[in-house]
Amino acid sequence: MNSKRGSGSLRGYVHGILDPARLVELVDHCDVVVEARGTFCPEPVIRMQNAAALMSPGQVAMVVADDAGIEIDLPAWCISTRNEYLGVLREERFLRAFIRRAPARTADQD
Amino acid sequence: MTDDKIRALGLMSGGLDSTLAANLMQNLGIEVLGLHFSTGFCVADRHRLLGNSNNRDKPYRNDALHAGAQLEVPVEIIDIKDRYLPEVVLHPKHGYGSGMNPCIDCRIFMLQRAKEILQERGYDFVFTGEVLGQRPMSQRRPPMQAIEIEAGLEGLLLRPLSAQVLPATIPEERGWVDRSKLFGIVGRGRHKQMQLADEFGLTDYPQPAGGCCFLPDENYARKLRDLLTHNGPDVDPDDMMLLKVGRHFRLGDEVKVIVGRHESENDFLERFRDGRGSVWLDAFSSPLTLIEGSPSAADLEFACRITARYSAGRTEAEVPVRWRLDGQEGQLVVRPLSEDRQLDEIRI
Ligand code: SF4
Repeated sequence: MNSKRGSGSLRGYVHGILDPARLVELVDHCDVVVEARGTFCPEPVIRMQNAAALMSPGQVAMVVADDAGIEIDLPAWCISTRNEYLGVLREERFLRAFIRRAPARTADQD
Repeated sequence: MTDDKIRALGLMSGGLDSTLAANLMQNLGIEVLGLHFSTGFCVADRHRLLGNSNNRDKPYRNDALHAGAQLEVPVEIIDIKDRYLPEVVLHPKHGYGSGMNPCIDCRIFMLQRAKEILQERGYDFVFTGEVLGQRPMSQRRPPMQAIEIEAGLEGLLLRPLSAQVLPATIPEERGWVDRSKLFGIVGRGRHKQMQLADEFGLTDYPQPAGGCCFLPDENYARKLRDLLTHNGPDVDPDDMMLLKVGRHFRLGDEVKVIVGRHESENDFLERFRDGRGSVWLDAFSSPLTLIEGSPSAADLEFACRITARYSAGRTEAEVPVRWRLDGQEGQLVVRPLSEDRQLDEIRI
């Protein structure tokens, strides 16, 4: 019954899969903007979660927040829900984090 | 996802016990969805509020999401803040624990919500990381049984870490989970859980220090009671948020001051300055003090003296203190409060 897991800390997952130049392009071209400035954990993730429920596979959301913790919570949420974490842009007073909605899961994926 | 796979909902706080329970279910071939309830009283949220302000490189994480990522179990955050205060905290049928913690009603409320999700989405059972005898209020045999019944989950609530010392549940009776692979942990010790964590390869989990919820904390409970007494049950979410930081002093029925204890609390209070009076010192390093309500001139002066008391100018005979109130700004030269007794009398 032992299913050993990697002991790496999730702090290592915060980078995302796109480089900053690609993320900058997405600022004006994302499908959904999730505004979460002025809110704190777990509200930004709740807003992302609610938005994700209405998004189609492949669509990109940009979460705008000033709770720095989203830099580790959103990647964790993406790993757990199998969405794609694209990365984060740090502005002076807030962050923009990008997520791509995962394709619908099929029977073979489980 | 195959149709015949057994699917379970797990209550996940992000602590070790619920993470182990989810891991154990996964190992037994159960498809798990973690539910994390956001009550608004989570201690970790406070760390986030404060860690947020001045330490971007080391933000506090949400442990439930982190546990979900570690196990690759989807975790859904269920926002119950709006109903939790009026329906659970203010009117607990089963009473409070050591502070304002309505643990039994809280568990029932969360499990009732889990049952709704179970029915809506076709899950088979619910599990938790509860351990028999670990908590005095909600984790003794009689309340555990009452919680299960009142939540409407009779037979469908599995506590895998203590299952072998509890009556068999439907998932065990029907062979969805093998009872012999579950555990019979009892009591407050952590040894067995740590051993299991090691066995499962879970190395990065929060230590069970100080609890995860503000409500059992007597200091917090006092501030919450005070707020409810003076503002009534329809409390503003910002006022609730402000209970988590600072020293609180009541100057009058409708006037309260909140004094930051350190830089990150000051930064945090700064965000709530709009619409509230505030007091600070320019001449010495000082806390930021917020004033709730409409202070009289005497209240304002007293707030200035309190702020001076906690500033670097506390030993001076007199210090200039700045204030802002109702769109106006000014300065008062005051004697820093020197007698702690005076503060103790008004401390909430
Ligand atoms: S400690 Fe808080 S969250 Fe935990 S059961 Fe009690 S009231 Fe609920």
